[in-house]
Amino acid sequence: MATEATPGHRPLAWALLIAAVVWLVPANLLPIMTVIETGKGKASTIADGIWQLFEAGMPGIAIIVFIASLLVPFFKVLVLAVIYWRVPHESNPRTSTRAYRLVYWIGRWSMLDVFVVALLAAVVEFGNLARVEPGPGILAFALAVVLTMLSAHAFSPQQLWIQNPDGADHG
Amino acid sequence: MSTDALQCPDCGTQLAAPSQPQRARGTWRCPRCECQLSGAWTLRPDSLLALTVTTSVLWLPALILPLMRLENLGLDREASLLDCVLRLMQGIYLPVGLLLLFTLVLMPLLNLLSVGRLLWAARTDTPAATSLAPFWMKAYRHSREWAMTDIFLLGILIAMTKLGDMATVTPGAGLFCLVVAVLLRLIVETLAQPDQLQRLLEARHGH
Repeated sequence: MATEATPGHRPLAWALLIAAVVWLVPANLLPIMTVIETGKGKASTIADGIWQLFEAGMPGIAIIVFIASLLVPFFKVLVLAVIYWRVPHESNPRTSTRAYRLVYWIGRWSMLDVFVVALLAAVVEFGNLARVEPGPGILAFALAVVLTMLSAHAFSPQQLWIQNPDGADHG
Repeated sequence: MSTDALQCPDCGTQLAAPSQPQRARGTWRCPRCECQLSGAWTLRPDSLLALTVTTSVLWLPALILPLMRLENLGLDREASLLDCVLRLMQGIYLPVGLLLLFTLVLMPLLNLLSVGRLLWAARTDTPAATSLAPFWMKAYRHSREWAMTDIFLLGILIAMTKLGDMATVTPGAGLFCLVVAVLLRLIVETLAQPDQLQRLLEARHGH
């Protein structure tokens, strides 16, 4: 939240956003957890997890997980990039501020998958019979989510209004 | 800054506060960027403080009592919120474990402390109570975003349905404490908007 008179720092916001995009790649390619049942391990990525929920006949929950862990991270990065890009010649600051506010609050819901993996790993612990181990993908995913949140933090919507003090009339 | 003029946090416009902000009904938004500057409800420090105290009583059992119990082939296992955090505090997953500690333990605690401290300052008349108010206000604003127990609840729901086919899952006492604590926190956060609380403090102690 920008309560101080100083507007946010845009190069820092860009740097954090680019770092987040880099971490999103391993986050989606590497397994986020491995389910070990009677000695045999089965690794699954974020997309696998969603598909398993669909196949298990839980489309509602599959859609929630799909939105929180696949759609939101990419959507958020994209929207923030467009907002940052448009700052120098912003013609519609009201819409951009609205988009920024939306993205700012939905971003934290991406942590959902991290929590699910932590819960499963903590509760399913029956030695060789059944066990859930976290996978490296969850580390990359958590980093990507935090970096995107920090990037949105580094930016201040006040920047959208500086160049064009009464630009709201264009929209 | 005087109490009848303020700056919109999102677009920096200087605004005049409504003449009687405590009595006005409905939300109050910045005319230029539509940033919500005041909630639809009157801020009552006494009742919100009572809710905060209730939340803090539930907080410790929500952390250490088991959230769910899993039974599979005669074996059973329980896990609490703290177990989830500790489970990922190993090897390369340490950063994730620390993140869980931060978002599920430290930030909710800071949220309780800061909102409790601010509400207490809003109901007492001693000027000493406001000396640390800017610090607590900042802590409150940050903890609203970084405390993620509400998201964790949805995570529990998803984990329980996932485990549903492989084992018998029963909710534990910790889960009930957590659900109530999260609901109370949401009520307090919705009613105690930071900007509104800030103005209440300023109006009370006069700057």
